[in-house]
Amino acid sequence: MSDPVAAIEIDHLSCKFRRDEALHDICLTIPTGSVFGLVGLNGAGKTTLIRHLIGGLRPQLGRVRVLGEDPTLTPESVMQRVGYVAEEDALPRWMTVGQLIAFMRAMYRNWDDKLCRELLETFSLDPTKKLADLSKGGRARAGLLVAIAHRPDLLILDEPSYGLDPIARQDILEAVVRTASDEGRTVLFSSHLLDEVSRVCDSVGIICGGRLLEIVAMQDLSERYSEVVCELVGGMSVPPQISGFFGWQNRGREWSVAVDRSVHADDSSIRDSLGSHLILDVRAISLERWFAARVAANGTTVATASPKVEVVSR
Amino acid sequence: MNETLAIAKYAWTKFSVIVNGFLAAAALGLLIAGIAWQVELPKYIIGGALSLSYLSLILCFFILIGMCSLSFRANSLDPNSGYDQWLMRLPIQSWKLAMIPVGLVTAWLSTVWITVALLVRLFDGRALPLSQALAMSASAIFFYSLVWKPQRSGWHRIALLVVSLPLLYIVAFGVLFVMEEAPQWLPQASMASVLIYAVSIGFAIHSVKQARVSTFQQSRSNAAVVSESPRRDVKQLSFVNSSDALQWHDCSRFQSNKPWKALGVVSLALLLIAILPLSGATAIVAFLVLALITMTLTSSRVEPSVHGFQSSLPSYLLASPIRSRSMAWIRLRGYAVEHCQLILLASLLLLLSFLWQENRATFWRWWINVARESSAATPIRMMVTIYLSLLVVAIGVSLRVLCIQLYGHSSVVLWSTGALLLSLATPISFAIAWFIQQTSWEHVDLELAKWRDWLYKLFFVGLAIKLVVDVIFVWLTTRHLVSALEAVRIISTWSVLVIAAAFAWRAIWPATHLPNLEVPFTTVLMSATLVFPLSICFAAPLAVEANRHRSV
Repeated sequence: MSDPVAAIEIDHLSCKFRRDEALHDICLTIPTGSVFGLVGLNGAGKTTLIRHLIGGLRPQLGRVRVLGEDPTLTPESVMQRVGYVAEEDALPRWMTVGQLIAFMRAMYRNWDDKLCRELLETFSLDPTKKLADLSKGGRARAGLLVAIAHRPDLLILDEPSYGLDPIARQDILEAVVRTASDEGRTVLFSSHLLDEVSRVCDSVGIICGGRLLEIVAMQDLSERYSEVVCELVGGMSVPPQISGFFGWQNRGREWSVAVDRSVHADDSSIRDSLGSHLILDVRAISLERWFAARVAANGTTVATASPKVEVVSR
Repeated sequence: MNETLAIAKYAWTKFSVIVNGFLAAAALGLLIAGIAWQVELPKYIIGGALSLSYLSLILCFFILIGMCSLSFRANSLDPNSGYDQWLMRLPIQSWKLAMIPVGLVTAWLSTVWITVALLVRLFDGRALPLSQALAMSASAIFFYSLVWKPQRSGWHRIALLVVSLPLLYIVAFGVLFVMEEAPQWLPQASMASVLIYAVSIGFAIHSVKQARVSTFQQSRSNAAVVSESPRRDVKQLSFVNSSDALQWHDCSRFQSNKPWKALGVVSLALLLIAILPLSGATAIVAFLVLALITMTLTSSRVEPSVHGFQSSLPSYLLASPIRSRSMAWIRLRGYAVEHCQLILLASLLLLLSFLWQENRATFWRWWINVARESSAATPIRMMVTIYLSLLVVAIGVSLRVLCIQLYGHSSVVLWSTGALLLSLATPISFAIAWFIQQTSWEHVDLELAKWRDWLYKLFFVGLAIKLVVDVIFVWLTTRHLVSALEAVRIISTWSVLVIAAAFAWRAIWPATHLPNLEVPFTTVLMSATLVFPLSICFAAPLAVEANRHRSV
């Protein structure tokens, strides 16, 4: 269970805010060098999970290790090796970009001035400009700059591109790719912009209602799941309950459903299961469709599942 | 609906609730006064009810002047225009945008002034000049224009407002002054007020035009835009280490608030000087009040506490690699220095009370009396020891409050600070209230002698509690936050400080000259032990750690 090279190890982590369960028995191991996407709806528990990783919340139940250490016990050593971009626009707006850089440079031992200058140029940031005078995209770039200029071993991005323009989002994705391309660096990328996640992540985990539903490697997604488009005979308004079929979606006369390929390994099995219903298409599933199907099926799938350790493959 | 009416309605909807509330309060006051008069209740009830009405109407008067300015979110420190941004985006000509508030304020002030003039004519028979309404309007319009005009910096605007206030006062009431002092010049004064009114309108239109250019054209020729431009040179910053950076961060974060803090302290000190006659007791009360106010002002160095399960620390500090204990100690030190500075500023201002002849006489009488009984240096020695003691008490209390604030949880901060301040303020205020009522020093001496045994017992209880609390915090902190060596170093430094302070106090306090003021050294030492805070050095890191790594 314990991986000596794991960048992140979460072991049976649970968290309750008064009576509301924010996280339920999360087990997750992210190996060093991977780009992991954490996807979920608003309020699913992504930020709460990330707060545990940066030491902002002390685990009530369970254990969290970041780069082999407890972030609440030794934040000074863990956070030296972690870059973090917060969900909220939380940079000190009274500072200029130059002051922010000077402040952060003093915090991190491994600050790379050359990389910092490069990023300033790439992001077209003026060091004399106040953060308050920058656009939201400008502040996001400044936040990203200070998160990666010390060449962190682990980069945690909590909804970094939410509400940003396409160019700023592109800059963020490039930074993720750049960080990941450095030997042995890990990225945890939380977002609900699934096209971005699918472009940069090696593996994706779905979190829903505080539960980690599933983790899948991006390259395995199309092997593990397919999308079937069909027409139900007699214009049925309620889709049939078939083992391995989940997340039915009605699109006029057509229905779309995700199919678990571990249950239905070949197309003939799908045809047999659907019986007289007319199959229009069987295709590779997109991340977005898989996410929607998984979240929709959450109530039935997860309730019976016992918590298991999810280890991301590299 | 035309533009003017629409904008007037827009302004009214922003203020209607407040204005209606005050008008209701005024009506209620009148109703109560009427009923009280009918049923012949005591006069003070009628007076109180009428005061409520009067106060409500005065507030209503000023709120409506504010409403007419259409500067709903004006911030004097913001170099940009205070004119309503949304209105400036509307397709309305600039002169009209200026004329609508001008018209509104003129109508409002004229209505009020004509009503006052009619009432005075009715009850007093005197005729007040109606041109006064224009003069008051001109004054208000000049004030609006200063708020609307974009400036190079916020402080530039504040300086302009401060300098202009006496001039605006003269403009506003000039006609009345002329009527009282030189009535033969009244026609000329009225004519001048009309001219000033016309000039004020021109200035208002100019200000609105500039405000629109500044906001939407981003013209380089505009002062407010230039002040924010990247051409401004920023000094290259460099920090030795993360502690140095955090110190700079805490100092610079509320740099713009500092003049406000100083202004707050100055105003309060001046108010206290004006209302309190000088005596030993009132000087102590004034000092303590100022210490409390400066404590509140200095507390803005720390992030405001938050509700719920989040940390009050911003995420860039929360996820920074700075140690919790370093963060705590840097903040303690910075806070103590700034609070000391503000208290010293306030103390210097209290010296202004000597501008009053009566205060000087009182002081010299006391000085001569004390010096005659002992030596010439005795009064100054007494003042220095009392002042330093109070300073240490004030700083110690505020640092304890800071520790609670560092925890960052609103409800904990509120309840703990309240309980701490109440537990300190209650006995102190009772003691001061008792002391102020005393007329003879001998009586005070006798009473104190009676209390001395009790005070000693309380001293021991206080000391025991303090030591237990200190031990708990040291034990909790040395488990993982502070090493045993560091703890020993802190405790040793604190012990040396306490002993040195006790010796210094004993050396300065003029007990040899005034034997009835003799205080045993053990008492001084015990007091120093109580007053000098030790637990804060250990409680502050714990508070920061708990704030940073929240337990839910």
